[in-house]
Amino acid sequence: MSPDRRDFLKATALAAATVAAERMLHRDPARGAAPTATAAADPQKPSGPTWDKAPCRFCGTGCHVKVGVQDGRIVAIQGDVEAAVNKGLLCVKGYHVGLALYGKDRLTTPQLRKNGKLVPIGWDEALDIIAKRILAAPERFAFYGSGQWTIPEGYAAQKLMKAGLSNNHIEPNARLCMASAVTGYLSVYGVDEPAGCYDDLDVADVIINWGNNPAEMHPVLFSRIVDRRSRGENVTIFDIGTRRTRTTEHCQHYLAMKPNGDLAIANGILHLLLARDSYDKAFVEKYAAFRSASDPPTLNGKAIDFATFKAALAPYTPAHVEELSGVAAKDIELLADLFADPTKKITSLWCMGMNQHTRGTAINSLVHAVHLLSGHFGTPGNAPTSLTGQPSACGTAREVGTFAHGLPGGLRVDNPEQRAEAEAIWRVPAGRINPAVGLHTVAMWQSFCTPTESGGTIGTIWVQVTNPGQTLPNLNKLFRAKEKLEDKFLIVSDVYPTATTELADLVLPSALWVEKNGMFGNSERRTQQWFKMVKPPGDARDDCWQTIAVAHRLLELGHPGMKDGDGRFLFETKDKAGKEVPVWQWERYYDVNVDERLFDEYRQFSRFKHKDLAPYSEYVKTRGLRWPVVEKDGQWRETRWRFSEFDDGYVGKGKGLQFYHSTSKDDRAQIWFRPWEPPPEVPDADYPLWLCTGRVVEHWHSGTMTMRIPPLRNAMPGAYIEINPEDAHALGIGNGDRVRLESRRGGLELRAWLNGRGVPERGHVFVPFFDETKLVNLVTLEAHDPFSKQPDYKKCAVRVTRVGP
Amino acid sequence: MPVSGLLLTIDGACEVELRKTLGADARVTLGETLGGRLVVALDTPSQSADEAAWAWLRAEPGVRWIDLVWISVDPTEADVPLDRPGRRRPSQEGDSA
Repeated sequence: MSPDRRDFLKATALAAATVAAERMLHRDPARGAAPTATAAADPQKPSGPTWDKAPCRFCGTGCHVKVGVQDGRIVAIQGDVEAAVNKGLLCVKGYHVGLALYGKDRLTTPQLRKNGKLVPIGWDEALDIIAKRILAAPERFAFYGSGQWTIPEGYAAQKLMKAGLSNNHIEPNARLCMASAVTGYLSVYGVDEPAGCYDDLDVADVIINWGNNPAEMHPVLFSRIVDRRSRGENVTIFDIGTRRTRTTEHCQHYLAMKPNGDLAIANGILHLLLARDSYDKAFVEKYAAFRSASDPPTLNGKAIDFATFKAALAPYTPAHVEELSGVAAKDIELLADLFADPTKKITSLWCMGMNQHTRGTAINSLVHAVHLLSGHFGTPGNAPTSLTGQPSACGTAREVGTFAHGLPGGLRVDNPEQRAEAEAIWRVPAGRINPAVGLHTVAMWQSFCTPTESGGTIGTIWVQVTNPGQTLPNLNKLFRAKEKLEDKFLIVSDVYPTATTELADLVLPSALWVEKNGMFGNSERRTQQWFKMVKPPGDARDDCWQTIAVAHRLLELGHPGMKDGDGRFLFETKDKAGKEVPVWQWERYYDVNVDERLFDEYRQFSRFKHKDLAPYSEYVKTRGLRWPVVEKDGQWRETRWRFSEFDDGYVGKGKGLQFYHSTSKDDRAQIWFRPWEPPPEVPDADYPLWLCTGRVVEHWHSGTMTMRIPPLRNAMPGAYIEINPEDAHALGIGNGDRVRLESRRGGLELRAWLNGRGVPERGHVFVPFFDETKLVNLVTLEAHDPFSKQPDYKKCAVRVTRVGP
Repeated sequence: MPVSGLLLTIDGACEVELRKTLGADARVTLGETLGGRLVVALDTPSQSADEAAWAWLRAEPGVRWIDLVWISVDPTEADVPLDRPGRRRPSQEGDSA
């Protein structure tokens, strides 16, 4: 690179960083838009870009960006200073999000596999193939989406399956990422999603990260915490994990634990609070009840009394917890001391470390138990809060309920009254919704990859907005086995070729992010909206349109489920004059705002579990609103702290706190006893190391988008394996050496990185999963939590051998 | 050859000393300090050198946090397509232990 070029880049870097800093000061940067999204903005053009708001396309933080569009193309991205989530700041992915649309290999036409090769076909033929495939065996069809579905997209898919096909085999890949958080919230509060919000991060005295690396995974939120120190505030941060990360470097306390040690640590804190009589008696007396496992095990378990609870925790002395977890007894005592102090405001944060866990429901409920027993709940700064990885894992997967058991608004298919409520809103005949829970993600893919004659009941899967060929665990078993099964049919809607399209029989090109209207829901119950700003390339089309068009083709073919009880098309859409608009025809799809029509139907479901959503038009005006959003005197008011009288309008006067969906029906939250249990697979002589997988700051999940953003790809071009330097020395492995990573399920080669970004503890290795050329999920384990059915990507037994330099 | 645009959240009391230390390093180009954030361009010869420079910056007294807001892109590399046909490397083909 020439010196001139390098000087130019440095000047650009300074300009970009200066603009970012100025935006956080709420100043209008003199230099205009940050030159970060694309370099195509032409300042000579007198008109300049037009700007509109949108949530970032990547993680679950829910940062808002301002998108600059010129000549039909995104030319700039700014952090949105009006957004409460990020206050003008973005992470490096967010600043480059506009480039996600402009990879060279965007899918632009439907393709059908013929004689082993994908060949272009037209949309009509593609829709026919899907509809006829479904019609031939509706019960063998499954829909697999994600927390990247917009809310209307997920709602349309949900309605097609459950109101139309009477088929509950629909899942989001969110099953792989936050299902244990859901079962944790349900088992403790009787209703899903955090009670607190990001405002807690601005006032907490203590932040505890449980197996969590927000410095890389949620950098804008972590920046918000650390930024308080620069203002002279004292924030104590804990990192409990198996690997030193960028988060660790900002923590006063790093507690290195053994896998599954989190279960012991939480029990150790509970034990000390009880043994020292330092729990919050008034809080427990008024607001809590006690639970433990039932026989047979159920999510709600059985009620126990305080004495039984206390006795169950008696073995979890600091010394015993040290033995189980590897964390020093004095550190368990330190945590217990903090929770015993009512003057300290404590927020727990977690993400995949606690969720991708074969005892994920247990550890989630235990962290809630620590907060409830100590009374660190329900006031600003005191909250147990899970973070999500996808932009609408909460909004779509959890709230629209695109799970095999779910109906919108937190309702369930196996509850007769709730089915009746859904059938009434959908205006379909009673009995249309199938009462049997469908197959969860692991079971769905296992069924798809099992020969039909051997009981593999799923014959066709339609995948939208996700990449299971890279992200499912144990890929040889749960994905690649499909390759040899000729009667199985895989449909994939995506924006780029992926490890999933590689085995697809039919590939559909999709619109991405601001190429369509959309709505997301972030980690703090905030529902966000944006409008289409640019056209998708070629013949790429909205996922929501694809779903509606297939439904209409099914209607044309005579499927009775595509009509409601009045004989109308399930997705009938009328314009303001009351005239039906044929939205299944692509050229007419944007004649009306289909998102608005679907959302305003969907939001009727939100009242059942007090997750009230405002009308679509309210979200157009804002950078999101946190539910429940309640109308009073013509104004729509969001809720920051759920269950707390001072902020939640659903809490009765004088109640203080009210858990109004309590599983014990007495407005109390449940404090669970959950014992320590060993991991599903433990290193042995053949496979002596622990493998943990995860993410890096530059890439988002499977890298489909970020690996096509040159600055991000150049910054982190490939996956690697982090090995503890002492282990590497013992294995004869040097920095940069090629090594082979193997488990009982598969293997791959990687380059070793010693003392790099992260440093695993002795006996542990770490591999990120963003790189489709190095599929670490060939190695991982599909063992999953018994309640959430979420697999454990954080611990399995592997061996590592040096291959060469 | 990474060139990064960084915002260093700093302890205001350390700014003078920090500017002196960072300014003396050839890898660093300093910008303004805005709202407690010091604007920095970081120029390093390799990814591992970039990681090492980050570690050095984080360890400097007064540096509270680093936000990465921009990474260099060399236009000669920007148009390189993904290696689609080679995506499955031989080591992964039908691989099972």
